[in-house]
Amino acid sequence: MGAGGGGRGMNGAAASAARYAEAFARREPALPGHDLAWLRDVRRAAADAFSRSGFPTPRNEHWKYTNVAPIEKRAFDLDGAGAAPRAAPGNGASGTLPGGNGTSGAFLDGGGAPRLVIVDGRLDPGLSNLEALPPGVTVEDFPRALERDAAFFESLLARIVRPEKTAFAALNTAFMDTGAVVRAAPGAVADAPVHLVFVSGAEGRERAYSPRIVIAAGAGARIAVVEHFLGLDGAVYLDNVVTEIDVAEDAAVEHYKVQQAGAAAYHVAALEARLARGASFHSWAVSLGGRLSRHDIDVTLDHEHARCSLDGLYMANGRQHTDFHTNVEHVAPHCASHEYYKGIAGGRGRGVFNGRVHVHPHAQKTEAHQTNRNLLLSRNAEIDTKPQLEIHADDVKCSHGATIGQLDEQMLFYLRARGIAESAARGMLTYGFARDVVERIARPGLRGPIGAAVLGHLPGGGDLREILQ
Amino acid sequence: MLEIRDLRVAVDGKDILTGLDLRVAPGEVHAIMGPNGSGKSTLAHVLAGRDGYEVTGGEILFEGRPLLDLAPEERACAGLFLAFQYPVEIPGVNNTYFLKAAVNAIRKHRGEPELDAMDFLALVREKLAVLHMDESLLKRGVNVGFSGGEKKRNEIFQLAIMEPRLAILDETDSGLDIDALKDVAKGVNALRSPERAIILVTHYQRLLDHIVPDRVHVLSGGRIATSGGQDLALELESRGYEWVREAAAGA
Amino acid sequence: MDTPNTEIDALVRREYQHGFVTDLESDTVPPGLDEDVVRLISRKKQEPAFLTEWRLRAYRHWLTMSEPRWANLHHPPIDYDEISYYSAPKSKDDGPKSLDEVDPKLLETYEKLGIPLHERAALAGVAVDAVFDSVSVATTFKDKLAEQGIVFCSFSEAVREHPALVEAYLGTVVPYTDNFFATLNSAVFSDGSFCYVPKGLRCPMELSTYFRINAAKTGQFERTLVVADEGSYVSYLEGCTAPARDENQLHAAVVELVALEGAEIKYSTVQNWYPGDEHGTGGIYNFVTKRGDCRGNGSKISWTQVETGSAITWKYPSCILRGDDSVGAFYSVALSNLRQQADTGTKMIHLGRNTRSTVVSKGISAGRGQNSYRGLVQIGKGAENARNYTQCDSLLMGDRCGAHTFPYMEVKNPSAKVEHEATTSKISDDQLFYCRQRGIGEEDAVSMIVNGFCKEVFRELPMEFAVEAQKLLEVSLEGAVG
Repeated sequence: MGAGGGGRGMNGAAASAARYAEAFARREPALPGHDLAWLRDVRRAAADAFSRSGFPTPRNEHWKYTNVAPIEKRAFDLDGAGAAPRAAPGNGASGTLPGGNGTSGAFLDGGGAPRLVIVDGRLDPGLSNLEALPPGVTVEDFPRALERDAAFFESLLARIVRPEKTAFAALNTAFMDTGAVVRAAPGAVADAPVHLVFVSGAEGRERAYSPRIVIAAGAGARIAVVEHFLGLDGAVYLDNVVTEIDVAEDAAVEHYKVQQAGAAAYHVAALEARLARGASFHSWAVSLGGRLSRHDIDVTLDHEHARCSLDGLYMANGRQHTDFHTNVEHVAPHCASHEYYKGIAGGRGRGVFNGRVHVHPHAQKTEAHQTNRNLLLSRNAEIDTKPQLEIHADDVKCSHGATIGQLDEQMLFYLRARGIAESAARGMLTYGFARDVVERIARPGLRGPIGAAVLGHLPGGGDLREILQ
Repeated sequence: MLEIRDLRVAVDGKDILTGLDLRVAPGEVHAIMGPNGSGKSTLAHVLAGRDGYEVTGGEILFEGRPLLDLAPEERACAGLFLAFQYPVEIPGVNNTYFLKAAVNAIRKHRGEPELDAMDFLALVREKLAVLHMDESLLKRGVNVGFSGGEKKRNEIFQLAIMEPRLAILDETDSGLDIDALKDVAKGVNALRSPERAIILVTHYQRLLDHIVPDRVHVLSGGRIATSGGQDLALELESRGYEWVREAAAGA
Repeated sequence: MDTPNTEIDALVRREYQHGFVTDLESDTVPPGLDEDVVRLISRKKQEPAFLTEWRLRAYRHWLTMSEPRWANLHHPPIDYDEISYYSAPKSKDDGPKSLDEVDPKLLETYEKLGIPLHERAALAGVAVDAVFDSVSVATTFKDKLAEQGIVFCSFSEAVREHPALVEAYLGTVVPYTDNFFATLNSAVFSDGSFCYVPKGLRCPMELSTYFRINAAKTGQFERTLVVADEGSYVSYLEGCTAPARDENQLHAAVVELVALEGAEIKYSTVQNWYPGDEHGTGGIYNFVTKRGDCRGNGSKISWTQVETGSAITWKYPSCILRGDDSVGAFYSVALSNLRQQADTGTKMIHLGRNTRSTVVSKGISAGRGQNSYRGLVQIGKGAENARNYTQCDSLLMGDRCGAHTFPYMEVKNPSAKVEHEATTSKISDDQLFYCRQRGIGEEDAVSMIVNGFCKEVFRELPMEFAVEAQKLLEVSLEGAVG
């Protein structure tokens, strides 16, 4: 398809829109749930919304610092995983997976934590292990869940993340054909986190993946889910992920996102959580891989006494571009949100953060605090940050703070005076900067492997493994 | 000077004071003691006119006039002073400016000429010395960045400057080390005079070692369970409040 | 809980004190804008050809532009054909030569405004250029300043007397293509103030301009240009008022500041245009472009503003820190009461090495007011060791107002340190009760707390202005508590 050569401006945009429309028309009859009228409507509306909007441009305030023209220009293969089952992976079921920087295995070793592994858009039963699930918790891949209990999805799917929200959410909704569904019955408590592992780029095709993840916790349930995206370093592909999270009354969901896409990959993810009264939601996200990545994390607090915390870390090295947009809607009174994000940009990398907190009229007694700190490591790196508060109620406690700076020269000198080489000292201090975000991971069992992954992406981090000991 | 008759107060529909009687004459120092939740602070707040307290019965006369109809600032101008348990921070408003505004508001109410900056400063310096307060505190925002002890000293400092007819000290001793406690007591004792009455609201007896009260009342169940002299405070110290509660229940 | 809110409500309801209309004969151009109107304005002002051409270029460019929509502001569309683009008080010949020649009614107006013109000007040591419906009517102390080589006069006069200076600097900080409102101003500006301080000179007095919109259905488009030559210093004050009218009036001013090597400009504004009433009827639409260029090394520009008026305020006094070691500052108090909307803040563009900027913004929202801080801190690649500190606090009074913060930070140099902090608070019941227990009445307590909140900004104003600003704030908030 010729969009790659379609050039810039309207022609390119029109060509890419036509390509997506054509692919949708071709694939629609065979997409999961194609026999469900409501789902067909949802998909078509989403496809239409995308046709109307096209990909966003930097003129759109939400995409001011992130130009997705490289995604628009690529003619990604939209044909999905195809009918034939994927050949058994070469690595077998040993638990090691292909992945960026060779750190991925650590997540799955030991303890036999429940996991669902999807390789190139297809469930890999050999790598998955769902035996250890506690009572009341189910984990399925998206097409199967849809087939088994379509009714569950009707009131939920595309209701939390609205397709019209972003062009990417619309595309995902039109094409969603893989993914995972985690459900916890009321009162169910899962001690071990559920791992959802997505491996992309193993095939040769330049594919666009559209995984849909749905997490629903019934009243009083407590679960933790890890969304882990890995990819092959040489592969060019697009992960276009949408995660919808429904947290019922007094339930608690912890969500961990580890983005380790391949170095040439594009990763775009939208997550939104809906919280009932007394519910709590903790999002922890780290963006390490990918050529260009964008995360949208939205939480709506429209019932009293709900609370959320959003923590995250983004690193951009080489020519990486990474962007986090978080948005907390305080609709109901007596809710609290806490946000703590840190970013590191080195090489020619660019880190973008936009944190919005919106306190609606009548959302009295809101407590909303946000912190964003950034480290600029090199001459050609860039950080753009915009903490944003919009407040329409008066009896609130809101604050935000943002800083951009560099490593403390005095600390650096101190370490060097103790005989530590400069590069190692810089690595140590950089990890020191990131470390308190890692420590905000509530599950001690995840802290080690995620910390190691962070370290793996630091310049000179490989020499610093003993810091973690 | 102060006469409280059958005072009944509720907060959020819950009865806190259930028929409290108290008479305080000029020149007297009364201590109001009681366990946590007995209504001591409620009494202090109601006297000063704080919102959020519903007076469901009884009356309070201050110098023969009904107190409950007056706004907080009118009570202050009439000579009633409350030293807060938790003094409030007001950023950007410097302590001296605040105090001068307060003193002059009251002087104006009394028909006295306002103090000029020089006279006021002289007054301030004199009182600061008594309380061992650092003059730099005056230039800071009201209570902003003050330690707990500094805040309490600042309350007594304001008391000294404003020279009210009736001073109510709400748990002024809580959180003070012994030196600060002595300074505070010295400040309060210096203010004792035949025209002035003082009510000390406190949980502990130790303040009363330094400011010797004429009368001690024990609040329990929303009313005064028992009254006596300083020996009552000592008895509470050794026997605890349970004893009073039981005695009150038995009566 | 109820008391402070009720009280806040009551404080809001007080009439705009400067809402009188002066009955003057004006020379007003009929509403509407085309090239002929632009030429007419230029002709009336007997401008040299370069300026007429510049205006026309601006006008033609303006036709290709549309109103910006990104601000957090809502207003009915402005009909630019309904506005009269020129209104001058009619006066003898070429305008007044001294205060005696100024229409006494006008002087009366200034007196009502409490402006230290006339004798009071001398006492206060303030040199005043008063701009009435965009036409400068009197400049005091001109001669005395001229002795030292300082030019302080109306913009028109500067065009006549110092065309080279005007041509050299006009549009060099805010080009005529800059933005919709600045471009409109470039086409139609009728007057304003001009100031040039020569090398090494410290201007011995505060220079002051008072702006007042008087005529109905007119827009006010004044232009101010301040040039501080190497090593000089000037402090410049600007005050604004307008009569209460039930239609909206457009004010689209441009201020350009140029600080050459080692020069310092302090620019202070107390803006009290008519804010409209509590139903949102009437009031000035204040779309202003203010920008300072720290062109020389070691130069310094600071903006201080107290914005209490206008139905809509759209302004971002900015600093381009081009020279090495240059310093920019922005101190702002913006109050939105009634149905006022303010979208204001600053841009600090760091280009030179060791450039520093400080931003302190205090937003007060009451009634149904909406207050937004919008700021940009940009550190360019070459701006080694740039520093910015931004503090952005909001005070909310009542539950129908809003306070919003949109800070943008873009950093391209790894030696930069940029810090932004923002807090939001209300006047707490505890604070009010504490003050009242000490005998201070509720209104006084509120104004004391609000003034405390604004202190860091007031501190930056010259003394007389600080007192005026404090009073304005009190008046503007009266009825906001109750």
